[in-house]
Amino acid sequence: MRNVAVVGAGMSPFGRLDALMYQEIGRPAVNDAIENAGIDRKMIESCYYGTCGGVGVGHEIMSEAGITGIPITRVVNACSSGSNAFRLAFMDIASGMSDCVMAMGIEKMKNVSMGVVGGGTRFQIEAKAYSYGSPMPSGGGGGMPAGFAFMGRMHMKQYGSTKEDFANIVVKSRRNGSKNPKAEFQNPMTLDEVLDDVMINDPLTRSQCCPRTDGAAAVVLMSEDFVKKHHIDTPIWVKGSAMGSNMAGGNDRRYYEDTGKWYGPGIVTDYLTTQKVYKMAKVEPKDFYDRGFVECHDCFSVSELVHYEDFGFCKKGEGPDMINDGVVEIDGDLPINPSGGLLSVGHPLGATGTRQVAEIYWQMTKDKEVAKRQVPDKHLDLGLQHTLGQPGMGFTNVMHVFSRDL
Amino acid sequence: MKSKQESLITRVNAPARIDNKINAIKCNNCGNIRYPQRTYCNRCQGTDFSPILFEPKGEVITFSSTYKRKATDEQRIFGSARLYTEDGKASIAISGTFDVKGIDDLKIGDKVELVPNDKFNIFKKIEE
Repeated sequence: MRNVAVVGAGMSPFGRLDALMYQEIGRPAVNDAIENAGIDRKMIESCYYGTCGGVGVGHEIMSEAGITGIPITRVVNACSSGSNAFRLAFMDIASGMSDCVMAMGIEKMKNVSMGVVGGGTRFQIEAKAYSYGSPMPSGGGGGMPAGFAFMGRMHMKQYGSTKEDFANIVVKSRRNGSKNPKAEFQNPMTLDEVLDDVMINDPLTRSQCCPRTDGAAAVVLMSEDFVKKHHIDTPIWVKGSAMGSNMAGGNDRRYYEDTGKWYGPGIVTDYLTTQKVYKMAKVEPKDFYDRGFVECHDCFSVSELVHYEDFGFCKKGEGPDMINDGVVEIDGDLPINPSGGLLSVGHPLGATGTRQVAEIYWQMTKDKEVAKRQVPDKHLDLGLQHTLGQPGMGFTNVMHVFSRDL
Repeated sequence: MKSKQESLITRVNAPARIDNKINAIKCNNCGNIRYPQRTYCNRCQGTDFSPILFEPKGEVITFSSTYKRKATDEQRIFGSARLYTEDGKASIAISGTFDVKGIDDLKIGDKVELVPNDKFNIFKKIEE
């Protein structure tokens, strides 16, 4: 398998972009990524784009950006669409098929029915309501916040975590988001403001749920040979790529059969996929404490907290300590979501994965894009990217490890 | 003779409950429990099942409150409860609403019972 690097990134502002067409959102992101990479757009040999609702828009965007005649593939995997597109772009180059590939993500959600971007079939709703016959709960037939609200309550019961612990995740997110000029929400919030916000599904208040957002992000990937041939100064290498899934409810029958117990409260596919990506990248959780940072899928406050535990950064139940002790701040021992994460930047389903990769690339290359929220140099050797999608009945996640070193 | 469509239908026309007990099926090949009933096992793809009934009494696994679009909307408490077979050897998680006044009237682990109902899963607290 060949070595692959990220060599450029671009991103539109995220937020309410009602007046803009898909092409008006996506083309600038593509052009910015090409300019950031310092390459001729004719070098791009294929494109993978993640989007749930934008049928055919990737072809239109690339055509408007002056890139035609190349293979263009739409990738649909709910919230993991963008990072799934990135993974396919990585595999395209790693396999030797191409040398220079673009991964893009785009979504318009503000004035589009959720039925278009992620409705539920009868089978999916049924499976969520009856947990597929397992003794562990799933989404209960409710929407996305409900499933994580359920998980949060179980975490509170089992480990003594509190509503304040979850709300502090948002306080951190908003603090970082206030330093991100492309984030949807740039206003800091206090703990009381988060707790007193409109209740969605107890204990999740509105600000503890990521917004439906419009936006696009694009990255350029290259093979090692191409990097050397075209004298790319700051390649960021993809050291690990992994993907997984589980059945409804964050659990998986196979895990139960292997261990004799159901996983939770937490997300078993995150735990299992992390093992795979760490193995491929030859890293351990402690390496991120020493020299790394993370962009993970904080779709809800509860999800970020359980990610700390699922990724092995702390023991089960100790997630609250990581947020309350400042461990995950930009200047902490393990910076997590320096961009502001989904809770502040916003979550256009297809674009989030490529947006996270863009953030990691800019952080590691100390790009001016992240000047106000720059992660300290000692934590820029390793980057972990993670998205978690729910395309119907279960979860599907995609994770990558990046390094400044080949 | 079945039509093309009919031959692909996997839903089973079985009552959801019998004597208010959850009417599930158990794969005779691998032991996987299937509810609602289907014509195949989604673990081993087997098609040979035995009936298995889950008692209507169990305990709360988790719960939350519903979203209120308006302050005047009635809020419901919903979530999942674990129900067991009569011998206690198998369990299943069933979602539904809890017949309580508010979020503070329920705790994980509370004993609950399914109210007889043809359409909805409604749990009443069993006061100890």
